[in-house]
Amino acid sequence: MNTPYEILGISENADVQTVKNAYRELAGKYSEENYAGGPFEDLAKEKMRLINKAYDDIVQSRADEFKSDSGFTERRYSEYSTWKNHGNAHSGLGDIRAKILSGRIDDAQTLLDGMPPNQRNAEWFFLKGSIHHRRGWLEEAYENYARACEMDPTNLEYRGAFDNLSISRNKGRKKSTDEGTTGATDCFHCYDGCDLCDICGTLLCLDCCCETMGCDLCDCC
Amino acid sequence: MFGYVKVFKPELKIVQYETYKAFYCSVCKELGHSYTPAAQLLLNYDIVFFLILKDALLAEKPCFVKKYCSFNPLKKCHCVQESQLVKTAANLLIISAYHKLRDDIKDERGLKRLLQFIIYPYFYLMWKRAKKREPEFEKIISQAMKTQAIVEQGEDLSIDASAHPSADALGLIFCSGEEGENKDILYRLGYMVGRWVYIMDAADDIEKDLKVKRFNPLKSLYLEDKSEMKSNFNNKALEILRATAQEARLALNLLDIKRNKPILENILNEGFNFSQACILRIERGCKHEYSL
Repeated sequence: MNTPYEILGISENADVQTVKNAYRELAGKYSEENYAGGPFEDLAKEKMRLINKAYDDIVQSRADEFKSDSGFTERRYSEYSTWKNHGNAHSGLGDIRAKILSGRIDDAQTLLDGMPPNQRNAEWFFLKGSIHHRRGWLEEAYENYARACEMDPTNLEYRGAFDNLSISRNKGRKKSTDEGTTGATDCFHCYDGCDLCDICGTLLCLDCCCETMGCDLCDCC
Repeated sequence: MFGYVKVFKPELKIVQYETYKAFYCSVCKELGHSYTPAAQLLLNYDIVFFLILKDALLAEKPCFVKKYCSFNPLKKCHCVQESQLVKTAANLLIISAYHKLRDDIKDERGLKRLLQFIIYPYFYLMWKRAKKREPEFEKIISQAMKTQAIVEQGEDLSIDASAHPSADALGLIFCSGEEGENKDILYRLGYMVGRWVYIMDAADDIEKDLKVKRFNPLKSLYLEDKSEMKSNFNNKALEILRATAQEARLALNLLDIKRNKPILENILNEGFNFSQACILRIERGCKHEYSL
């Protein structure tokens, strides 16, 4: 992947609207909400940086077209900050955060589990949830995030991670995933490959074949 | 794998559908070629997902040829030309089918069990051949079957913990042979697809499992719901499945995919939704297969 157009997945002579649409779609895909708390936050951030740069390059190289396009008020998607940036502000659990971020999940879990139950605050539950999220244990992650939010409802970090999981649980995020297909799903429900006409047609053909060979399949025709 | 992972045909373009079918047919051909024609009956859609995904990561484009279909000699079908990847997929299919049969023999009784005993030697012979060709997959799967059996004996098990061995195995299979960044993402994708399939299978079998008192991770969830339609259970299971599917989609988004992305997205979006709906939302007992 080299040229900005390849990064956005469009051809070089795409028009302004196509460029914008492609950019918008990709930016939606890699947006912060999708990846909050999961194992690929950094990677998504990197991808976001790439497509932002690609989009900027295209806008710059075709500045005239983009300006003349009416209503050009493109909201640029921000390169978001991951929770490691505000992690330092928190108390004693900074170590464990660092361990989780560097991928040492088992170490982090041992440390977390070693803490006495009366010291377990909202952050503890958030980190526990994050460990489970990274491991793929989504049910436990969900419960721990929920607990963290309950204990500290004002914290945006916990809320973001919780919302991320609960939105995908409740209806899936992409519009095309649910509403788009339920209609088709319902009508496909009664889809059947073989009906009466098919059967009759097949019998007729079989009969013709048989007759050319000298015998008869059904004697009525 | 159990055939839940497949495309949702109405949302595919013809060209995408033909490509999908070509991959499907090529595994079928390969099974007939390097095993026995009977092995072709084992073919399922899950393996096609694996094949298309792995193919999409290769720089080299697959080459399509037209061949006669062995089940319908009048029809010519597109096939992917023989490649190492198709062979790997066929071997993987044999290995997983063998382990599934072994697992089933443990659970079934009566006539079905007798039948399984009869076909067992054939599976065993094919498996021995496949094992030699893909020792790594064999190791992963047999290890997973062992851990799964141990895990399922535990009391009061969470859904996460019981799904872990199967999901982990698929993660390892997906990421085998890859390196760097893609490896982690593929592991995550495989893990989530494996988890999704495991929970789907559990939801599908719940009533049968309860009757014969077999282990099922969704059992407590099912027994909690006292209503007749089991709507609470259905919603809860759907939530778990959706969350898992969403994580799989997120992993797929990050992958550097060279071709056939719409097909893979179709499987993870519409295909998954359709399978979920068939098993949970719509009345139970509805047939969820539709012919390709």
